[in-house]
Amino acid sequence: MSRQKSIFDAISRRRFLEATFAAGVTAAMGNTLIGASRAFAQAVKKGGDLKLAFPNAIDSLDPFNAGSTAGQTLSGAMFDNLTTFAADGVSILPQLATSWKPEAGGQEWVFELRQGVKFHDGSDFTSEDVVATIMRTLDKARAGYGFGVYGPVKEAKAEGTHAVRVYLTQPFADFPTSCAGRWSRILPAASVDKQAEHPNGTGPFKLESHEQGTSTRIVRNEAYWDKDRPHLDSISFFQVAESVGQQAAIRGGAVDLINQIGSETFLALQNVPGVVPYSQPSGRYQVAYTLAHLDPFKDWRVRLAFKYLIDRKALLSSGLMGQGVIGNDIQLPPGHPLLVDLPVHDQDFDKAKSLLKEAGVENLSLDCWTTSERPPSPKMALAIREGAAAVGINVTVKDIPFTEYRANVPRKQPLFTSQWSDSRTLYEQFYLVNHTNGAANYSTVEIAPGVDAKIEQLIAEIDEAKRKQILAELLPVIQERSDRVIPYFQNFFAVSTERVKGFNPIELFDVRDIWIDA
Amino acid sequence: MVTFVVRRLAFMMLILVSVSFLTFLIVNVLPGDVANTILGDFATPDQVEALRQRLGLNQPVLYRYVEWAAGMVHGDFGISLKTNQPIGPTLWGRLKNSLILASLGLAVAIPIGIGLGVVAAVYKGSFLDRAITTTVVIIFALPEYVIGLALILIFSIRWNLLPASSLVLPGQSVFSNPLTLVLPIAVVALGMLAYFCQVTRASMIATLNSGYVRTAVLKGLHKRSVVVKHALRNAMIPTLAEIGLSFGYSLGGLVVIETVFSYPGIGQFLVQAIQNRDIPALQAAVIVVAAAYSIGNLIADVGSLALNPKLRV
Repeated sequence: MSRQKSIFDAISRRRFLEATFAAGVTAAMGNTLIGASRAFAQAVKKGGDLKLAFPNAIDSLDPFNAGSTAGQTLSGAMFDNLTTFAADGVSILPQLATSWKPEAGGQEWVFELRQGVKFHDGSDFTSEDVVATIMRTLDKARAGYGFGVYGPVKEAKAEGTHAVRVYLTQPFADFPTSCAGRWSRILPAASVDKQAEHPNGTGPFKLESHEQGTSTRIVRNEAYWDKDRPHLDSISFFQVAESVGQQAAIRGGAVDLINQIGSETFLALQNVPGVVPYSQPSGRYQVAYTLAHLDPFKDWRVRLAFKYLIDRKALLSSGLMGQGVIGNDIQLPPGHPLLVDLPVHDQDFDKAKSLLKEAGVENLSLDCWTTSERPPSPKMALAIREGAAAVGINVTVKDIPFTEYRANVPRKQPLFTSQWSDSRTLYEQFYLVNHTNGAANYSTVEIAPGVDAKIEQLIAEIDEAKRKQILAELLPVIQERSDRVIPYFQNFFAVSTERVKGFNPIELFDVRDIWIDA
Repeated sequence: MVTFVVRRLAFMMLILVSVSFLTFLIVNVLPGDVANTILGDFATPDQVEALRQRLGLNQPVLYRYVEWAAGMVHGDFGISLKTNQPIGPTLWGRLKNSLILASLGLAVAIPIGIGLGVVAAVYKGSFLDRAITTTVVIIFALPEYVIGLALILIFSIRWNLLPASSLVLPGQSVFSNPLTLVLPIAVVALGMLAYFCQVTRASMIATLNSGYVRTAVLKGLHKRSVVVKHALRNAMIPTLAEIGLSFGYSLGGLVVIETVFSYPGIGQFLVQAIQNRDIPALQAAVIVVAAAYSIGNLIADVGSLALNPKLRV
């Protein structure tokens, strides 16, 4: 079988791996970073109950089956990870792991584990728990959302009671970062599949009571290994779905903090005394898929033509009321430290027409699938329809219920809208969505010859300067050839009362840092 | 009377079996299943398939229905596919909360609705009648969602008098903060009282024009005595039937109200079960609502029999 000529052949190839892992990165520096992330520690007051609301319900007590932000925030409070994100959301700190280092050229990672940690039921935390957790993420039938979250892992083995060696299928620099994710919580080996019934973590809060779909209360774990945190005595979780209900609840003090509110709620509460609204740029984006393995998008020029159809500024203004950032068809948000200069994909009907002509596409007619339950994506579909009409393509917008959409649209229709949460690792951002073997690559084909190899190089690379070099070659190709039109990144919205302190307004904030100024 | 009740109970069982089977079929022909829901739209097809197998979703529909029905007969509502928790305890807790909301709503709606209906009928054609009729028609025409939001805007946001959300901690009663009940009860009651008022008014007008009422008036009885003792008793028969039906309707119809006010009832449970394609949970909730509807209807019929001996023949 002959190999296609790589799109990157013109670029001189470098050997990255030797240099990458020669240094043997350890996380000894993590301990100093912990102190740095606690800048607000002096003013902290201990105690109090936080009434925390989400528009969605806690859907499962099992961290691996928690699909809602409410469920993921709860699992972050009751469980620990091996590593955790610092306040900047990018760098990582030790949590249940005290240090880590790559071996065998980055194809193995060895983690030293914290001693003296106990689960809520009083049992000791050991390396067997880490092994059982990682092995569950490899089992499709048991893993739930946790499937493959640790990256290209082959297996994990205990090395004594408090060390673990993880074997990868390929070198993976972001492995410690993937250990900090929302579905990478460490579960007890003895009940690794029973967390939905009896959640038992090592985290700073223990489950006190739970009414499925209604409310949940967690209380401070007095035996928590980190003596500085948490600050709160307890947290009560509620669901308040309606915007008007959310506004009334925060104004009346029925809740202290509502996470992940809609833009309309944010705008309504912007100037209300006693209320603190948050609108922060995030990595969460909406996307129009043009699947590369289905007609008419098998030809990359048709995919590129669709990237010139949307007036992104107008869409940001009408769809998000300006509360977002314009996207440029790359999954890294503007301002990301690894982003390189790229041509701007603005509305350009002449370019789109010329690309369609080159691809030999005429009298095209197709459906654009969307769902109103993911606002404002239907507005994106309408913007595509308008732009397509200007270049002679007839697009029909199909707005269907979410459950029907979920079953019949992703991976099956050539043109549809979707959305992506904030991703933290290059593995999630590029391997999963752009590599042929990526679990979330709906197109299931290599978008351009050589892209797969380049992505493999990228995720193996640990040196930031070298990563930037690889991205400088990779990003223009992904921007041009990928199956994703990314017109905007959505701001993250939340609202709190003035007494809530230490809240970091990101999708998955750490409740350990929050305190109440009573 | 006993034969009637026994016959109706048997008929009710037949209805419940039919409802459960139809619900099962309908949910199964809808696109999407709980495996899709649990794993999200980023899951790979083989991942979804593996979970479907583990949850037994690949078994034939009839087999799954019979398995579920056999459990139901023994009082076992099954296990939620989404949460892996027994459905029964959660469902009963939610049902209790919804019954509280519906009962209190009815308790407010019945006297006010019937009272307004009687007044409108007695003063038929007057300004008072027109004012009552117009108001209840407007209330009746407004969706509960709109009434709920309007009440929140006025009483919670504008005046900050009443809480808009029934935020109840696990194990707490909905009465732990009674003020949170006021707005949801108001919405339930407004919708029902408008209906009761219209039914009572129509029935009362017909009764007031009947021969025996005219005779009572000609006998020189006091107007209040004629209205309350003679007319109202008969006029109540259709109203009572409507109240019985409304009880079942209000349980199923609480979906919107419970969502707007974050009220932990069976309506909110239903919505979550539908969103999750959690068939056992959905089945259990539908059966409970259908049973409530049937029981409400039965109580209304028995009540009508008690009030009107002619119906017993």
